[in-house]
Amino acid sequence: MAALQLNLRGLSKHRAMLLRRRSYHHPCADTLNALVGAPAAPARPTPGELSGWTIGLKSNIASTLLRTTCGSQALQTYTSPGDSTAWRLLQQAGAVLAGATNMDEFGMGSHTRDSMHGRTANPWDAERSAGGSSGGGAAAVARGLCRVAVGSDTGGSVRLPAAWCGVVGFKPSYGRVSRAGLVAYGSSLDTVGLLARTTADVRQAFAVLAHPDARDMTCMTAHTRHRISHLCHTTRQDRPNPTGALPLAHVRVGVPAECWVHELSDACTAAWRQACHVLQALGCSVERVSLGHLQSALPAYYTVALAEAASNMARFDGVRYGEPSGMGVRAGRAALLGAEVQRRVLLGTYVMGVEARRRFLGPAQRIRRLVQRDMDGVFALPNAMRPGGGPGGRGVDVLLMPTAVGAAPLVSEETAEEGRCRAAGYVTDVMTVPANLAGIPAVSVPFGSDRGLPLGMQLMAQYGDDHLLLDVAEHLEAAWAARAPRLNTT
Amino acid sequence: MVDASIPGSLPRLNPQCVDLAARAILGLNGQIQHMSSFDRKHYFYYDQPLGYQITQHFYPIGRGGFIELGPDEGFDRTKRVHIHQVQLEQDTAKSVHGVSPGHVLIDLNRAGVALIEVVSEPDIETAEEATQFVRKMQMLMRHIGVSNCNMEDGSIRCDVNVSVYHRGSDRLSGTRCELKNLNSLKVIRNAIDAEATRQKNILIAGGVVVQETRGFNAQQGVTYLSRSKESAPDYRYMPDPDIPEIRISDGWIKRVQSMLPELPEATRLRLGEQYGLSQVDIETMINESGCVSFFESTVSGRDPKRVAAWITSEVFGQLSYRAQRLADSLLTVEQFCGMFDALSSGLITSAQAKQLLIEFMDGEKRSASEMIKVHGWKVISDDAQIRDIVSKIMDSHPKEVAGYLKGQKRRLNFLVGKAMEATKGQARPQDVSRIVKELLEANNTQ
Repeated sequence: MAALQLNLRGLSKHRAMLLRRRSYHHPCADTLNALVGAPAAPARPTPGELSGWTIGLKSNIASTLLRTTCGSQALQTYTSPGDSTAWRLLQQAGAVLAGATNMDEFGMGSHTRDSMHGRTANPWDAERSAGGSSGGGAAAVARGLCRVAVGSDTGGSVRLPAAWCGVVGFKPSYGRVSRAGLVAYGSSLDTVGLLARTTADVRQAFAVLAHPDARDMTCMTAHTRHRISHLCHTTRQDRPNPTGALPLAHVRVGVPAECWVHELSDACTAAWRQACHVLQALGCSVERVSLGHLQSALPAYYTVALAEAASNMARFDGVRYGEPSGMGVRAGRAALLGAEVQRRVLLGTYVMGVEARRRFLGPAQRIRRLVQRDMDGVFALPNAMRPGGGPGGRGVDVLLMPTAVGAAPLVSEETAEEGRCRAAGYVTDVMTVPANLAGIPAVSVPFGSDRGLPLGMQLMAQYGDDHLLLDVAEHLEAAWAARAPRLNTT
Repeated sequence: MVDASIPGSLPRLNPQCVDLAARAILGLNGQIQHMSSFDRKHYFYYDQPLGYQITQHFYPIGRGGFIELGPDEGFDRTKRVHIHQVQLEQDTAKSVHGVSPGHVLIDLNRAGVALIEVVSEPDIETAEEATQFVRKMQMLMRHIGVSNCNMEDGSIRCDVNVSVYHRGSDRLSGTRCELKNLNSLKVIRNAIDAEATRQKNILIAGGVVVQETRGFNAQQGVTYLSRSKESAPDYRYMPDPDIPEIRISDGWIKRVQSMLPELPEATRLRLGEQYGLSQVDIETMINESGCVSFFESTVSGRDPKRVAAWITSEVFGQLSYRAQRLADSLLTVEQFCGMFDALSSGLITSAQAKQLLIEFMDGEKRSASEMIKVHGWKVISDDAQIRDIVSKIMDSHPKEVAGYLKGQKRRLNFLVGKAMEATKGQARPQDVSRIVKELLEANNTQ
């Protein structure tokens, strides 16, 4: 505990934290179990936009300095031969590596509990879930173990832990940030995301990461980026200019009626209302919108994600990664992969089969398109990939909804609940998966609290509208910051 | 890194592969699809590190087309073997047998390399047709620069589906078996015959052919079971989320088309009509890559039949002696023309021309006229001079002369040979022969 008192807040403390880190051996120890690996030698900060910024890198994002374990036994001794594009860009901008952050095995989980490194504790209450799968990054940022954590968000894996740990978590538009070097889970849903104390930090790190990359064919080209920014400009050029008193006077906010689910906690509902009022006070117009297929998004998401996961996991056949079992593929994989990963691989394999594909995967892909169409139907900005059909000038700019149905749950309760019904664990993602299905940007900012625990409010915007999204998020975050409970760091 | 399926690595489509596939499709008279996409075909095998192969299952890049088999391939009538589709896919790793005893080594360098798969319709009816189909495919792909199609290097491989049917019933009523890893034209022919015989014997005995994958034992000339249908995996095809679909415009297709060389069928027709070449010469030239263009750049203003004859006999003779391809030869068009013109205008003899050819193909850079000067060659075309030489030969070989005059006509060749020797090959043999005969006849009348 004495060691932890060193890292309260502020940049200078990060330096102190790094010094402290040296006294620990790999894997490093922190009371939260947020960082699970540190570079052998701390790097000297170099000049650049992020000079000296400390970075927590999720264990599924490759760097040559750390093991890329993905929280799995299958990769417990694995170090990547190359850097991910994300880490390369951060390093070029002068950032230094604080360590690898804990995660659910291969990103398959919502509590950072199913990891070969053990569970990461929620910094607000160690008995509670840190959220997942990027829970190590969220906890590390909340504790000040790093300034920015790079996570991955396939169905909410950055936003959910951000909400439960009281930090900002941003999932960019699909293709804004290169996936090269991110160990794939659901390739068509995966995005590299960012966690930080403030939206301003997120924005600055995002500016470094958002570049075309020839290593990733799904990464937006320079031409697409240019086209989108032009589209954003022309769509809103006749809006009123923001003024000092009403900085968001040009922004229209939609509140999706379908997010009003009965699982929503009272505190969460109250925070959501309050966020509406705050945005109105900042000059936004707030209106109710409807996303008809939101209810089907969760099962569709799990069907698509698990099919892709089963495919992506096929390479971990016990031949090249992990200790050779000599037991063949079936037994070898059973020994190397955790129960949740095995469950998802089996389900994914099943839905891809000739028969089940017709009954599950096909419909799921159709629902995915309907969710995308729902989104295109509410946003004023046209979808750059699917022109036409939007509401045009009548549409909204951002959607506002809670990130989760409540505050961080007790891990013991959650585990017991999953024991009764396996799918219960998947419900935590209900608010976050629509953004992944649609490929649109989404951000969770700390807003509201429930008995001393932080809550997260989520904003989504049209595909490519990342910058406006972060602008609105920054104001929402600032409105709450003054009243936000302080994290007891001892 | 994709080859070894390093976690976090992503596949990247090589635009050159799309270009080559487009050429192949146009060469086969097929249609390039405006939209095509990639799918993952899942199965576990040691030569497949990703656990799936990236291929084009749902939307291939090419559909339709055909290869024509006819008299040129030795068939009585002309038929078309239709192409079902052309798809781009990833190759597997190469299995290396026999280097380390008891182990199969895996060479991952080939894993993930693009290959073009051509799927034909079930139009092929005999082993001979199958062999000729493959041969023609090789020629075509070499001609349009898609692949060198060397079977021994594995740069063309083929899987053959064989089925037989009762006379009178539907041609496709049989059950097919797939023969895998057939690695030469001879093996293809033998394997198909062996498999057809096996299936016929089963049917004659009243049995049922079972759909399965089989291999071919070339030593024993029989096929053997390698995988039965029951154990055939469900490949769980899924669109590959890492590679966006390929969109191809009409303009792009036109550009590829315009860069495509003339197809062999058209070339064949044109060489016959325009130059009056024989079928044999045409076939020989078409089958050697670069040869037609070599011919056409040397032929203008010269006798096409003689040029073709020189290329197909002398140049090709030297190439095969050197185990060389024309494309790798050091002989230039200018050198060939210089040599040919010197020969045609009687400046050098054909023996000297052949020697020039050898020198050029050995790497001589100088022109034909320079080389003729270096050798000090000039043809003795003055009859009086030849007569002098021949007279001397006849004087020193009275026995042969007498023999000829007694009717031993073959003595003539001996005398001509001696005379050619005396001219150091600088006289034209036909001139020498004419003068020898002239003088012998003169002797006779004396």
